[in-house]
Amino acid sequence: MVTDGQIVIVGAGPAGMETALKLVKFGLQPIVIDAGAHSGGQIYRRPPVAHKRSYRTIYGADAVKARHLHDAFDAIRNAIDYRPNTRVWAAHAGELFLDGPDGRTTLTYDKLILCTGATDRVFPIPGWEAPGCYSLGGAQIALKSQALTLGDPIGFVGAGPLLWLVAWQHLQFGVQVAGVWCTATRRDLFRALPWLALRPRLAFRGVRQIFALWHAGVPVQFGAHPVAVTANADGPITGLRWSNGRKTSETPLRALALGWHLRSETQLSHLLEVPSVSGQHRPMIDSAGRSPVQGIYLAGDGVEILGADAARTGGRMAATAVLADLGYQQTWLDKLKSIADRAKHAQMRGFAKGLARAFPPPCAKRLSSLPETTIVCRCENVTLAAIGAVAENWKCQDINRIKALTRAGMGRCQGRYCGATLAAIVTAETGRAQSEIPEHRAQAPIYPLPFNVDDR
Amino acid sequence: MAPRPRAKRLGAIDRRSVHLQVDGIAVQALEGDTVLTAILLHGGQTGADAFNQTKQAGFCLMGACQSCWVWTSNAQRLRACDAEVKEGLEVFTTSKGAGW
Ligand SMILES: Cc1cc2nc3c(=O)[nH]c(=O)nc-3n(C[C@H](O)[C@H](O)[C@H](O)COP(=O)(O)OP(=O)(O)OC[C@H]3O[C@@H](n4cnc5c(N)ncnc54)[C@H](O)[C@@H]3O)c2cc1C
Ligand code: FES
Repeated sequence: MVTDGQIVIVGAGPAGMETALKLVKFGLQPIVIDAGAHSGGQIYRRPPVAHKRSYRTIYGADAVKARHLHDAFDAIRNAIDYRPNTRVWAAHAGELFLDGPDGRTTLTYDKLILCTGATDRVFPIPGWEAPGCYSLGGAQIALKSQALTLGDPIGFVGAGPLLWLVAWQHLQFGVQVAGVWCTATRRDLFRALPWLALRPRLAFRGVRQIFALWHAGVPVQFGAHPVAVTANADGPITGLRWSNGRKTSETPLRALALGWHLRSETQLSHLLEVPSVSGQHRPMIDSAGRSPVQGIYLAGDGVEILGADAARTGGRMAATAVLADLGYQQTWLDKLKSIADRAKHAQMRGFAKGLARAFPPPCAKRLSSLPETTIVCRCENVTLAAIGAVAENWKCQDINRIKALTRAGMGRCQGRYCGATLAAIVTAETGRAQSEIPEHRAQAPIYPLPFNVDDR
Repeated sequence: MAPRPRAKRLGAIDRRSVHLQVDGIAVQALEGDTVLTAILLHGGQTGADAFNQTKQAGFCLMGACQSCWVWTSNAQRLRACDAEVKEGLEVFTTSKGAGW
């Protein structure tokens, strides 16, 4: 008999759930590790059990998909070793380091499927360290899983599909939306139309959200520049100063959510030495989700930001690759389904290209010309001046050097929320393309470990 | 007088109450709330940052940014955004509840 060895999936979002579902179909029993208390990942995040809101209320147009996936995963719970509330904080070949309800443990694997998803990509606005500023994802989590708005009125700034979606969701809940400031221009949007047309329903949904906000009287600005977050002397934010290139205005707010699309959570694949695609900062996988490192597979937003549907096809493709590598025979029906998945995946990559064009991040020059006192690294309180001085005086071309010299990116979030800015500053200073500068290197622990005085 | 909280509930209020203490002040929350939700609804903030003493109130709500730490009475550190409230829980921030 062949032994399949231990199969471990990290992440119980759509990618990890689909991977598990497919493996279980073939009689395998994967271990699924997830930081969350409930399966679902980001988009299909489940509220605490005590909430009794309907799927429709929480997930809107995605309600049916959410319910199907939750039900399917719940149905296999006894067939898998599912470990919620557990974080993988370090890894090396063949072994993961976990921190969960049983304390700190280790876990060996023969096959590892990383489905670690994404977090918000954020850039600094002067004054954004004041309480009352949140990531866009944070504002959505408050809404979806806590039935809470972080402020009323609340404003939204950034670029990306989530900007419009989250603003629109707040509107649906009757929250006053003080404004949506999109840093991308209408021209960016129009130029991306050919790619966006690859998924017309999704594109149409986005347009409808923008229109609904505008129709409800929400001030919607394209090509806006956030100038500063204003705050009381004792802390909380009071408003956003913004410019549209011609004039500067200030809008009063009680909370602000910001985000420029998403960034992949690639720390584990870095620690496991999965190489990046040359010229692009994303883990290298073949068309089935295999990395060049023996036994490691990747799927979902953790490898490339393609959205929830692609996370599901990616999860199924990775599971198919694992099965093939273990010598399982696929039926012709499975083979047909795999072909369909690959075709769908290609379409979603095209659409994602459109989104990237429609909603570019703020330009590097603009970021590096923000006021010098702007805090770039929220954890270690490192200002733009400090980073600029290092970049200029030391001719720094590497964000890891900047990190060593300024501590930016070394704090509690491990560079998740300043890495993109550091990369932009280096590109502005050196004139080199972002793809040419070395990547932010991950360090274990990738999450700060809790410590107790009575720690074992 | 306690400052008016910025966060606001949008339904799902037919849940059991849970009582906790934040910096020694009694706070009533609902079953399923996170500690951060309870703090935000009571006008509070989480720990001051270590450098310029500005107060914080969470940022990502998904356990990634670590700017929502609070401490329990046995000096255990909790991420307020992913810890659920429990009856009798005592947490401490360093912000002393001032300001907002
Ligand atoms: C806050 C947020 C909100 C979003 N909302 C929407 C939306 O409304 N609509 C939409 O179309 N798209 C949304 N997206 C995009 C969405 O992330 C993807 O479309 C989809 O959820 C990706 O699925 P995934 O399985 O790749 O990753 P995710 O759904 O992100 O799941 C990854 C899972 O892995 C876990 N994980 C990661 N690292 C570790 C680790 N080291 N140890 C243990 N567990 C780990 C995470 O806790 C998470 O549960 C959102 C993204 C974010 C970040
Ligand atoms: S708010 Fe970011 S970790 Fe809690």
